[in-house]
Amino acid sequence: MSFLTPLYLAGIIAVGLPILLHLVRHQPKKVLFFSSLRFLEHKPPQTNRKNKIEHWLLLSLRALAVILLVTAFARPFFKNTELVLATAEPLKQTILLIDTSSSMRRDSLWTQAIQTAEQLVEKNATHQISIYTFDSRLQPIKPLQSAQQDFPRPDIEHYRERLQTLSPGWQATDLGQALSEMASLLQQQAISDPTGTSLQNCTIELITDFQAGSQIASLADYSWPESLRVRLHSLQTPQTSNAGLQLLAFENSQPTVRILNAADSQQEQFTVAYEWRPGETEFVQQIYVPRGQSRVLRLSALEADHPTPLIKLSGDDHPFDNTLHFQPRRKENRTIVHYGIPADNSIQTPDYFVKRAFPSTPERQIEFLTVGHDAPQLLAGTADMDLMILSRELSVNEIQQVDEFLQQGGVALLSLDKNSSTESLNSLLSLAQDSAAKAQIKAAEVHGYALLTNIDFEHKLFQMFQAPEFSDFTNLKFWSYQKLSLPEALPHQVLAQFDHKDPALVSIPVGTGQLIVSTFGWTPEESQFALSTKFVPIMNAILNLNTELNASRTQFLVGQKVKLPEPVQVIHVSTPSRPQIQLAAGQQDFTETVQPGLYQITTENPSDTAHQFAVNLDINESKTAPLPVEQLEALGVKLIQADETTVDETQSADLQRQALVQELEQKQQLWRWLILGALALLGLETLLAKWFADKTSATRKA
Amino acid sequence: MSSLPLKQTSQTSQSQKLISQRIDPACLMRIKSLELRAKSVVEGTWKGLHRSPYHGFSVEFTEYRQYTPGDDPRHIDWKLAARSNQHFIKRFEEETNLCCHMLLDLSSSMQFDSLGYSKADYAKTLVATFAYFLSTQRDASGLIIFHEHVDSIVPARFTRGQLRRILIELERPPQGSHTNLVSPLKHAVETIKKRGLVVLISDLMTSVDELDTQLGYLRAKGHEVALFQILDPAEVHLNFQEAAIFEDLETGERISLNPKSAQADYLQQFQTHQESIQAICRKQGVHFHKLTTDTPLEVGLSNFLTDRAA
Repeated sequence: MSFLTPLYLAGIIAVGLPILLHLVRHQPKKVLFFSSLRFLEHKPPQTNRKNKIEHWLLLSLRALAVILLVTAFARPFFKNTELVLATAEPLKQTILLIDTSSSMRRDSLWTQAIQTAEQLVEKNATHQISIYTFDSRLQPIKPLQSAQQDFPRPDIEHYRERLQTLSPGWQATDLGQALSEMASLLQQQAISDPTGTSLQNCTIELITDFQAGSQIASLADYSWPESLRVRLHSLQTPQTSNAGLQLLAFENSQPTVRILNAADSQQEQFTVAYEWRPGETEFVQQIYVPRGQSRVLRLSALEADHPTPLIKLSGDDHPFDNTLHFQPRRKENRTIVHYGIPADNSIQTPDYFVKRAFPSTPERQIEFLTVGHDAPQLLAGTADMDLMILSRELSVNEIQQVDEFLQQGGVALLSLDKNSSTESLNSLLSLAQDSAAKAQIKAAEVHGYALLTNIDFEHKLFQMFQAPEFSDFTNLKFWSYQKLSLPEALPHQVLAQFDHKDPALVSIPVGTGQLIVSTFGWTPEESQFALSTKFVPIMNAILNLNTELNASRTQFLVGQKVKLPEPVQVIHVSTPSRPQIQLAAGQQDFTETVQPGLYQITTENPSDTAHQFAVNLDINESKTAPLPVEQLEALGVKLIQADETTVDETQSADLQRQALVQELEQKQQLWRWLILGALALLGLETLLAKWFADKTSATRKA
Repeated sequence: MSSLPLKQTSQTSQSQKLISQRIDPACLMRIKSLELRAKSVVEGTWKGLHRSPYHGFSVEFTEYRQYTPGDDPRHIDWKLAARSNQHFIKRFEEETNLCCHMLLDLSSSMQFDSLGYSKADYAKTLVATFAYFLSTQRDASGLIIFHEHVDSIVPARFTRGQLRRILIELERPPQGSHTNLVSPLKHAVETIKKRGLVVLISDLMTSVDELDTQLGYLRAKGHEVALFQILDPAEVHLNFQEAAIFEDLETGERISLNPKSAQADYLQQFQTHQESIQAICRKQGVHFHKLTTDTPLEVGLSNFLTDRAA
């Protein structure tokens, strides 16, 4: 038998209390002060009150009635199997989320992390345990499983073995993404498997150094589940001094580096030097970096034919982020072909301006070819070209050449000029789309001038103008332009419009490349575009449209994708840890930038020079000062202390049990019977008492 | 030399007269002033003894002495100075022929009362009565108050303020707890040089092992010793009706007791104690008087007079 309100049972004291008091009253209450007890001996007064209980039966009946009443108030009920099932312990789930970013390489942090994880596994042996690691992305080690899948549960040794196989990597920490992904996974699990563990019974055990570069800001965009709790195990090392290096630029053989000192560093004086071989440093420079700040340092110039050294930082406690690998950029050769009328220093031709829009720089060598109507056929293959600019009507051969270029992923800019380019455009589109629908082009009526509106600042052409100080296009006036209407079936994207809603710049995908169509010309008689400050940036943006993951880039961060230069050939990549990785033919990206160092890409073609690139740590990993826990809480994550037990883990189960118990008690309603019993006893007691009273009076009279 | 006719009166006639003049102690204790209480007792007693107690003189001139600086100028005989232009001091023979030292026990056990006033109140009144009487007789009186040790001392002398000093000491609230008879008696032995009357007033509810020795010393020094044992009637009879927790006033010890069943043993032990005291007194030639607090104080004074005359 159980009770709904067992506290009422305390009322049973009401039965025992008078009897107890009666028995306790041995001691006289009155205290008498006497001059001296030297002639007195301790003679406790004898009580003979026990004899006063004359009617044991009456006393028992009364006591029993009180007990029944008290029991009725306590609302008794009998348990059944349904209740036993409902009150069974809910399955709890523990997710170990272990930081494997490069900052965990410091000192004994990794050992601490594994120890903490093992302790948690032992402590939560009865729970369902999952293990995930995270750095810049979340990695399942032992993924979440549904309750049914997890039987029989693996023993502790199994988890221990899994944990021992883990090691910290070199990647940056993205704690925000890891937590939000983990929470989403748990939410999905809770939705897909309602019989399994609810979110209240899940605890994420976050084992991390919780460094300042953990990037938790992305949590602001994520709505953290109210019932999901995270227990933070923040690992600390007693040696807090740490500084890191970042390459900012390499100009005129002089690398410029940023030295960042962590906010809790003890050291503020560091040295930076070149290192050709291990232990051989040269050009040592001292630098003072206050804690929590960074300083930029230009290193000594390197000789052109000298092999590339490492840049070493010293003076802090942790060496994991003290080496900077770098590779000077190779000078690129870019070829731009302009199908236009060659300019004779005449500012009325597009060629005059466009030729000047692409200057050669230390990083690139521009070869600009202007192909006129009567110019000889180009000898260069389309594969070597980077941009085609079309500002005149094209011949059939030229159209084929442009189409071939576009099909290979090239970018062409077509300027519609006085209806002369209509045929060219239609030819290019018809070849690409095989459709009968044609683009309509006619000269637009412009009263005064036209302005650009609805500019797509998200597009790469206009991204650089996003800032408010650059986004003003009202000074750019167009005196004339062509009204272009494209067939609806043709996929295209309008990048900018005129204020008459006519498209100004349109991007049309052709093959793997894109055709950018401008409905205006840039000569001064057509518009102010060539004379404006926007001209050169936009033209160069078009040139770089297709080189976002530029193969000529030589600096990468750990974990970044590297676009391979020649996707069609079989390529070997040698990494710092593995001598050679052969990539499959056709693979465009190399993703195994797993550790810092120099990587070399070689092709099977012996005439190709090896392409080298350097991979370095993210500078955020050098920000090793611990973050305040409050920042994580401020972003909505429900944190509990490392030694705190979750109170509401069992709260919902308790509420459910309480409801069931109440329902059961209401069904049984035993209290009514108890009240009836008590009343019956009291009635019996009354009758008995009367009988005894009569008997006593009769005896007295006699 | 005292010229009172009291000393020539026979003891029996005195006692009879005193008893006829007695005042109920309960009424007497309602009088707040200790001096007034003493006066009431003494003058009531006196009235029955003598018609005019203020006769005669108590100072007797002996000689003149040249005044020297430092002497009290009050004693200069100014008439002689006027006549002879010289300053002389009058010297008198000591006025009293009795020096009485009263040793009063004000330990915690003396605070017991069953009649509305304690044994201490009764004892204080008794001491005040003696002192008052002695002051009227131009006799020197002194007081030693004690409990576990000697609390305060008023050296015995006859001066105008002596009664006042004694009364002030009596008015002070008692501070001690235990009774220790040895310490005051030893003190008396050591300090009282001149022979006189030593009056010990106590309930003697303590061990009397050392009493014999100390009284012996006093007697050996030639002192007349009177012992007034002040007891509450409840202590003598233990006639409590209800069972109660009895708490010792001196030690704080507690026992629960049914007085009816304990009475016989108590009385027996109490009697043994009393007998041992009386035996000591007999042995040492000490006048022993047992006074219960319901006894009129005149009886005590009468006993005192008897002892004084002895």
